Amino acid sequence: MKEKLSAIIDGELEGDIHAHLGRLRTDPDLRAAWDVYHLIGDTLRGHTSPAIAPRVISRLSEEPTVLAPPRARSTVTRIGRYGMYAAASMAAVAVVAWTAFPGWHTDSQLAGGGVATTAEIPAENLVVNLPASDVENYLLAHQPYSHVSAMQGVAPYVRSVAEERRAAGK
Amino acid sequence: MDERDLDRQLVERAQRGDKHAFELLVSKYQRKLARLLARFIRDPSEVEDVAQEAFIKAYRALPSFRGDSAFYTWLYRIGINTAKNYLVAMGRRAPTATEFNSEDAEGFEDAEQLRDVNTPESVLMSKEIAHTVNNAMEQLPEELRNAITLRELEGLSYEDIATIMNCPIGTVRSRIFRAREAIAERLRPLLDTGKDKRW
Repeated sequence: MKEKLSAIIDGELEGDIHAHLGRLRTDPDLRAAWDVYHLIGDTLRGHTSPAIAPRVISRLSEEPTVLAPPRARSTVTRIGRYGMYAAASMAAVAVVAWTAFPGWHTDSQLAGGGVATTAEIPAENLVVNLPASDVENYLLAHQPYSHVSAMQGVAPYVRSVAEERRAAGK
Repeated sequence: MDERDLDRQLVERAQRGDKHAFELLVSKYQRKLARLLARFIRDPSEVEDVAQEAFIKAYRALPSFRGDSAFYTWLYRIGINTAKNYLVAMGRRAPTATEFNSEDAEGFEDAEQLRDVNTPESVLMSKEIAHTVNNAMEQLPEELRNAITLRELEGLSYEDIATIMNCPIGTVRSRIFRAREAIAERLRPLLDTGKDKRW
């Protein structure tokens, strides 16, 4: 048991140490070992001083007992905290994506600002809304200079392919 | 579990009403705190009084300790404030913030700058303890002496000591324990008979 106490003092005992700390309360030999092991360490480091502990312990016996249970770090609290971290991360990703891919939201604004799915829009309207082929060619030729192509990775390429196919279909 | 975890568990037990757990913290930190206070309180008996007061204040303030900092860092601040109040009450100059700040708390090992807090009547006992510990260290087998030196003086973890000594961690743990027990065996007669039980 003293070997475990020695490891506890060094902060090197794995697992639950509550039982060992409880034994320190009831086993005078173990308690004496706690004191003398600390004395040895302090002496080796050159830390010597008069005995303060006996006087403090004597005064502590006159003090009202402190009863202030520590704040519980429950699993629920921890999970809640991790959930908040995850939500914050997802929100940050969403903001970055929204900023980085303006095409995702500017298209709907150009179409009138309403939220409309393709299923709700008649096919003939889609054809009508397409830009003229000369404008499309102009846009394709100047796409490298567009503000959306500087930092959007593969998005401009994806759009180019789609537009090229659309142009070829015509 | 590291030393900070151990302190945290002792504090939590004390917060639940276990005074004995707080006594273990007093036993652990009494000399460290006294040497801190001796940096600016010259009279050894005053150092004892202020240290004692600081521990009592810490005990009373336990409900406010949330564990955001290490226990000793918190105790250090209480010690400094207690000493400041004491010096002001005595009409003496209190240490300024630049002389002591909480960053010093963890690495407070500057023995050269410290005053000796021994009272005249306790000098002999102090020397006897130091002499006994040093003698016991010299007589330890080399592997035990190296293990406890690496732990107590260099502050290395068992894992690091195992790497240096090229042995399993379990062997390090055993060697440090055996070294402590061998020294304690030499100290016990002294501690049992001493008028001033300094441990």
